Amino acid sequence: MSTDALRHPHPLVRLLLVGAALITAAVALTALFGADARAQDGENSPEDGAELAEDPEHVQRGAELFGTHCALCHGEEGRGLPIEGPRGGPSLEGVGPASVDFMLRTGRMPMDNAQDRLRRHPQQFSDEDRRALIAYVEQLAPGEGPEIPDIDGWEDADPTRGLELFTTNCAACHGPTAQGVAVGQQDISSSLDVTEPIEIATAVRSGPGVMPRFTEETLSEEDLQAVTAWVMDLREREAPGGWSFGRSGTVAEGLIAVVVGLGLLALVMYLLGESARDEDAPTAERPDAGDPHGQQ
Amino acid sequence: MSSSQKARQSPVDDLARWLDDRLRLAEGGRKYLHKAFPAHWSFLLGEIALFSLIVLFATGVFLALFYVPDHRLVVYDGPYVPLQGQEISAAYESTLRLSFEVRAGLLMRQIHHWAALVFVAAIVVHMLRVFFTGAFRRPRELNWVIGLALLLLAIVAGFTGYSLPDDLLSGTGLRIGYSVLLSVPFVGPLLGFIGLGGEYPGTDTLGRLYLMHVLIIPAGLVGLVTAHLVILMRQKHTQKPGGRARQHNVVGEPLFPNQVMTSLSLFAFTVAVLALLGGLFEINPLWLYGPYEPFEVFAPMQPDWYMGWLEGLMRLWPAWEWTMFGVTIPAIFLPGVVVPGVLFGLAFAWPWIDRRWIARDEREHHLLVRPRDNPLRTGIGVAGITFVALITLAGSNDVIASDLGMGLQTLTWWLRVLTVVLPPLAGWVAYRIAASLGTGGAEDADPASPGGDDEGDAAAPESLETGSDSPAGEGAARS
Ligand code: HEC
Ligand code: HEC
Repeated sequence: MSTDALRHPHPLVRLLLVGAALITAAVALTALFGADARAQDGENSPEDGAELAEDPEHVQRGAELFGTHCALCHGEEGRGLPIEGPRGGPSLEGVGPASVDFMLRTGRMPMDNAQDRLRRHPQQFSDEDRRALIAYVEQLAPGEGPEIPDIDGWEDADPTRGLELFTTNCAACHGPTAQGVAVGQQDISSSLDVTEPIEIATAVRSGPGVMPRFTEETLSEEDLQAVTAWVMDLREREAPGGWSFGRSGTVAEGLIAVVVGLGLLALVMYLLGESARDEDAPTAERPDAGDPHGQQ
Repeated sequence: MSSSQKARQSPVDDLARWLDDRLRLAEGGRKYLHKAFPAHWSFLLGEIALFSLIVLFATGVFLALFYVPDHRLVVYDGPYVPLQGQEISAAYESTLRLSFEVRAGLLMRQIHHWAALVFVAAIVVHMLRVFFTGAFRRPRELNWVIGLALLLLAIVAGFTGYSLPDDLLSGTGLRIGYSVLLSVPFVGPLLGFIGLGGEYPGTDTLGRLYLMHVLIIPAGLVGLVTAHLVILMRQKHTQKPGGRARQHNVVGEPLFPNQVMTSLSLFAFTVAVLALLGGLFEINPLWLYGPYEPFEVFAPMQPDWYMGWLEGLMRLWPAWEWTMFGVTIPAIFLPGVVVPGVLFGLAFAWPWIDRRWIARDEREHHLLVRPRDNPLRTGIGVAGITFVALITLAGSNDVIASDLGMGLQTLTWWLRVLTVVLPPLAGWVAYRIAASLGTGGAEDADPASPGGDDEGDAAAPESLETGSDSPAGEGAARS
């Protein structure tokens, strides 16, 4: 009987299980790391809104584009349509080139419905047309809003300082790993996973939605470059600990612990328990106390 | 064994004989080696918890070799570039060293953390199994209470451990924990002083937490687990009705070798799965968070999953604050202390509540029931699970809101409504389903009749021992 019992946990089943688990994990891992290695677009050269605004050609083209795509909500001459509803947009006088550049690059403008949340979309305009729109909006009220910051050389900025600045200024809303989260009824701080360096800079200077506008007094040009460097570093920093599942924090960790950890173990448990019962049903029943072997 | 001639020569046998002569192992050993273990797989849940705990101890000892529970500031000069030259606490520095410099340190850290998450999860699922099958009924109330105490200790262990690295996230969790402690009227400051060494972040905090985490709580865990197992051994397992299982016997596999083999393979698997998690899945990448700064707050800021329900309660609870006997009760007191206290109090008292009002049954039980056999208990259990699940969700309302693209307040409002409405509803539905599945009154019938479905098994009565075999109390055996 004891030989019978000894062979009961199927070694084959166990082997297969471990194999399956390992293979699944490995496939998932490669797939994810593969997907992470997204190619980065080339840097766009920084632009100067004030200069553009003085170029009649750009302004001319910008006025046309504005009339077709933007005036619908932002009104003639960008003075705004202060109405509730799907067609109400704020005045654009003095918003500055940084804001226009950010809104257009991240595809937030033009919107379909003014009551929607601002969302990232693919850019709708060519670089030339974007410059034209910047030129047009800028000449409405020249020099009043933040200029597109020059972050050339951010690659050499100090990520240590960036990490510090990021935790003090940004992490409260964007999360320690810049994953984004709901920060209020209307607002969800963006995940910074696909954001271009120049978009980080223009976002910081223009402050979209509830995000505060960081001026040069609060965040110098050098600081801005450091923050940019850290955000880019954070996102490309490889995970020494394995698959980072989007760095989405304890919520995802809990799910993985329960689904993968306890799930795999439950499967093992089920097989062990079941196989034990199948094999031993005929013989191994054993009333507990008063065991006959005890009297030998 | 087979040939006694040969056996006498073997040194192992000599040793065994020597030991037996002195300790009389065989007497008890035989009895215990042949103890019967019911084979149903759900009985192994508790073992997973136990084995995770062993993994926790093993990896924890490794971590303790390198961790320094010290707030004092040092300048980081390790290999992790983004923090080089920063002033950070020695605790955080030692955790970074563990992660980047100590060989296998990161692996150990990750296994330890994953094991903690799985540990609590296994306890919870084990507890649900015990609840829904009525395994907590007389005479096993004591083990139910011990089990719950283990759950509490496990949660505290997790929380103190989470706070040790002194990174931004852990510090934030600690601050919330500290304000919960402080919110207790009258004795709050004293509790804060004893638990965390006064004013947080103070110079003593990490030392206190460390002491709790590596000494006091593990000692409690070991003691309670031992008690849990000894009581289990004495009272013997409950078992599913059916087959040859009766109120007065235990049908299953002998402890040795069958159950030992099962348990050993399960142990190996638990280690394997935890190592798999630790080796392949990143957990708590605290080098990205930077050191703890008291004035910095965070969103999203979630604790480990088993604290989610507490966090959720605090997020859902309206900010009511009132003054009593000249003491202002902070808003956090009710959701942070009172409600969890009531929840755990109810859970602790459950065997007695169940006996008096739910099952109305004072007898001893060694046969399990199916959830459908007691619709009321099942309904209450499902309502409880729903409630805890909802408040756990609420603990990450900001993450969920952003995933759903929903307004944060809207979601919170919905969750408030749901936590009030959904649990009774779910409980009622479970009750109806259980009741409609019907039982044939299995629970009431079990002492006298097999209570199982297959009466045909009575064909094997010869394997039934009906001597002095009543599990635990004699009162139960009615053969
Ligand atoms: C469907 C209506 C709609 C259309 C079309 C639209 N916008 Fe907007 N725009 C809005 C609304 C509404 C806001 C305010 C968003 C907010 O802050 O939540 C806004 C905000 C902006 C801002 C940011 C203003 C600030 O305070 O910094 C800029 C810049 C902008 N729009 C530019 C444009 C441009 C350029 C176009 C045309 C390509 C355009 N918009 C088309 C509705 C529209
Ligand atoms: C008060 C909360 C808050 C703070 C602080 C904050 N942000 Fe934001 N941020 C937001 C919100 C909300 C959005 C989304 C805006 C929208 O789309 O309407 C956003 C959007 C962005 C975007 C656009 C991302 C994209 O791809 O579309 C960038 C880049 C950004 N933030 C960077 C930063 C940086 C860098 C800092 C720190 C210097 C910072 N933010 C601080 C709330 C905040």
